[in-house]
Amino acid sequence: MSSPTLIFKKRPIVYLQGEPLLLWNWQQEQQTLLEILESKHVRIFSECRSGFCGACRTKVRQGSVKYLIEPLAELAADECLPCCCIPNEDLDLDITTEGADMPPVYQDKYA
Amino acid sequence: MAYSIFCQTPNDATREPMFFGQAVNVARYDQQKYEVFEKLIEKQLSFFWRPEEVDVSRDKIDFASLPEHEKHIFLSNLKYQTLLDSIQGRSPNVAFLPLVSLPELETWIETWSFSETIHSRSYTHIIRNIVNNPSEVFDDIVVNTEILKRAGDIANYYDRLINMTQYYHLHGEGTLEFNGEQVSVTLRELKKALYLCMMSVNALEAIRFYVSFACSFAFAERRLMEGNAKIIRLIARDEALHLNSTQHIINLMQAGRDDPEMGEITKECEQEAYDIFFRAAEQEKAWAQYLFRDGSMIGLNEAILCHYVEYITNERMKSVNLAQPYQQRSNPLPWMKNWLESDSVQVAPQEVEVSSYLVGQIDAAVDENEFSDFDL
Repeated sequence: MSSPTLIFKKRPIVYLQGEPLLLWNWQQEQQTLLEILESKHVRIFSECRSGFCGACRTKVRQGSVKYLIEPLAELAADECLPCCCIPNEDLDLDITTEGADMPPVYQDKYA
Repeated sequence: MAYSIFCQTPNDATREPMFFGQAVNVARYDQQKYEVFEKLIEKQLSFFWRPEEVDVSRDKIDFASLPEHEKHIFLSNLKYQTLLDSIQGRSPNVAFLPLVSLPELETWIETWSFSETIHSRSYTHIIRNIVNNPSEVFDDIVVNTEILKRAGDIANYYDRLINMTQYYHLHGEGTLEFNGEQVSVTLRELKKALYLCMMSVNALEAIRFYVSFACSFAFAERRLMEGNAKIIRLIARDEALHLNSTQHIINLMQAGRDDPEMGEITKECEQEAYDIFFRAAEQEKAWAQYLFRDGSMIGLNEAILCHYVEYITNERMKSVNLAQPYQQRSNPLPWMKNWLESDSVQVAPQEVEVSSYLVGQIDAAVDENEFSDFDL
C-alpha cells in the first residue's frame, strides 16, 4: 500500500495563439472559460452559453479542458466549447489577441 | 426506386448513411449511428413551451403608443418570421423524410419541424393581440414584394430537392420529359440538391431569423413589447438548437465518412454554398434597409443591423467550413448575448423577469400612496 499522495495541480496558464493571457484561478471554479475570456475582452462569439448551440466553438492549439456540463454541440478532437468548460492544464486557444487585455510585456531596460 | 413507407427488407440501420440508404422501417432507438440526434431530440422536448403561457396583454398598449415607423418595423418582422416558420414547419418533413435512412435522424427531423409549428402558432398569438384584424397582417405576407423576394430564394432549394426526389422515386435515374422540359435525374444530382438545400436551411436559421430577433430584442431593451420578446426568446432558443443540428449534418456530409460520394459533392459545391450564404446575408441587409425606410428606432439603425448581419454571417460560415466574405469585426450588438443566453430563459411564466407578467390584469403595480385616503 502506498501512502496517500497529495496531487499537486499547477494553476493552468491560458494562452491566445501562444501569447500568455492569464493564470487560471481555481477560486473561479463557478465561472466558465468563456466568462473569464470575456472579462479580459477577448473577441469571442457566444449565444446559448449552455453548450447546445455551438456558437463559441474554439480551436485548441495545445492543452485540454474539463467540461462542467456535457456539451451537445459536436466537437472535433481539437475543439472546445468555452461556455461550459474550464482549463484542465495549460491551454493555448486559437483566438486573436486583438482587443484583449493582454498582460504587459516585460521589457528589460538593462539589456 | 418506388418509395415504400415501410420497407420490408431487413437491414442494420447503423450501417446506412444519413440519407439515400434504405428507407427507415422500424423506428428503433436502442442502436444508433449518431447519438447526437437523440440528444437533440431530448433537448428539444425539454424545451417544450406553448405560446399561451406568455402573457402579451401589455404589448397591446405598447404597440398603440409606438410611432408609425416603429409599428412598420415590428409588423414587418413578424410577417417575415411568419413566412420563415410557415416554410420550416413543413419543409423538413416533406423534403428530408423520404430520403432519410436513420431512425434517430428521422425522428429528429420530425421533432424539429414540429417545434417550428409552435413558432407559427405563437405569431398568431402575438398578432391577434396587437391588431384588431389579423388578416391585414397575414394577407400581406403573400403579396408583400419585399418578403416575396426572400421567399423565392428560400423555397427554391427545397422545391428543387422535392421535385427531383419525386422524379427519382417514380422513374429512378435517367432523363425524362416533364411539362415539355428535359429533366435529368441522377443520384449524384439528387445528393447535390440535398446538400445545397441543407446549406440554404442553415443560412435561413443562422442568419435570416437573427435580423428579426435583433429588432424584437431592441424593443425589449427599451422595455417595450416585452411579451413578444419573451416569446421570441423561446423561439431563439429553439432555433439555436436547429442551427446546431443542420451544422452538424453538414459537417458529417463534408467529412465524407458517412457517404464518400457526398464528401466529394461538398467539395465540388463549395462556391455554390458560399454564394447561398452571401446572397442570404445581402438579402437580409436589403431587408434592414426596408425596415428602417421611414426612420430608425432607438438603439438600432440600418448600419448597425447590417454590421450585425455581416458579423454573424462570418461566424456561421466559419462553423460550416466556408470562407468568410466580410471584414472581421467585434460584435456590433453586444446586448444580444443577454437575450440569447438560454439559462436566463425561464419557462414557468411566474418566474419571468420581464415586467410584462401581470396576473390577469393590465397593471398590478400598486403604490403605497394609493391607500393614503383609506380609513378603517
